[in-house]
Amino acid sequence: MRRRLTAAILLLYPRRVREGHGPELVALVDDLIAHEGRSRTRLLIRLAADGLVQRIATTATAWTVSAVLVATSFGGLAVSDFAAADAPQVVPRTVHTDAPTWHTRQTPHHPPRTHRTSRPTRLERSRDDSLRCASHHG
Amino acid sequence: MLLAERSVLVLTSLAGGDRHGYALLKDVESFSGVALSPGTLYGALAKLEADGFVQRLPADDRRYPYRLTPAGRSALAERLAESARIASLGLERIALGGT
Repeated sequence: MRRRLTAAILLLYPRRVREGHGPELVALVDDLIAHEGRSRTRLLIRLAADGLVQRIATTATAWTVSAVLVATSFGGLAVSDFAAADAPQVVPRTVHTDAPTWHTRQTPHHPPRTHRTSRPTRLERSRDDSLRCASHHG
Repeated sequence: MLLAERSVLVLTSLAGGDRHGYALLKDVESFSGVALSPGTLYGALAKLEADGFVQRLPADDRRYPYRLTPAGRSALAERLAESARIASLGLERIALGGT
């Protein structure tokens, strides 16, 4: 189990280190555990961290990361462009330039609503109707 | 070429004789107080070997001793001379500054 774990951790290292010094690394870890009684878990964690650091520091990896970043950025832009082109056009439904009757009557000091886009509610419609009837009859 | 600090430590250890991984770690720790991790040590050795500064000798069990090459000795001498010059200058300025 430990051999398998160490072998898996070695995969984190750049190929040059892994192939050239992999068995030596394992032997050194064994020596440190055997001679100094160091914590195996701690050694393996540090081994993994070193491997990651070296992998990231490898120039080839840096180029790969840069290429992936550039590719994903352009890919994201292209996808959002396609999505925007396919999306339905949003057209404002209704624009009232004059305030409704009930509104101007009750609150004449308020400026008329000019950007209403939704239909009046049933309550508003009935109130408008009653106000219209009242003004018509009296 | 600018040698990294850990490479200087490894080369300085090998300047005292051939050593394998474990002996290198112990020696570096004894003269510098720096405890290199196994991964850091072999990362440095891989680079130094690729640069031709160290040479891997035939294996003794799974352990390969390393030897300083003439190019490695020259690079180490150059780097240590530069460090000595900077150290000398720094100490001189500290002495003159008095703070």
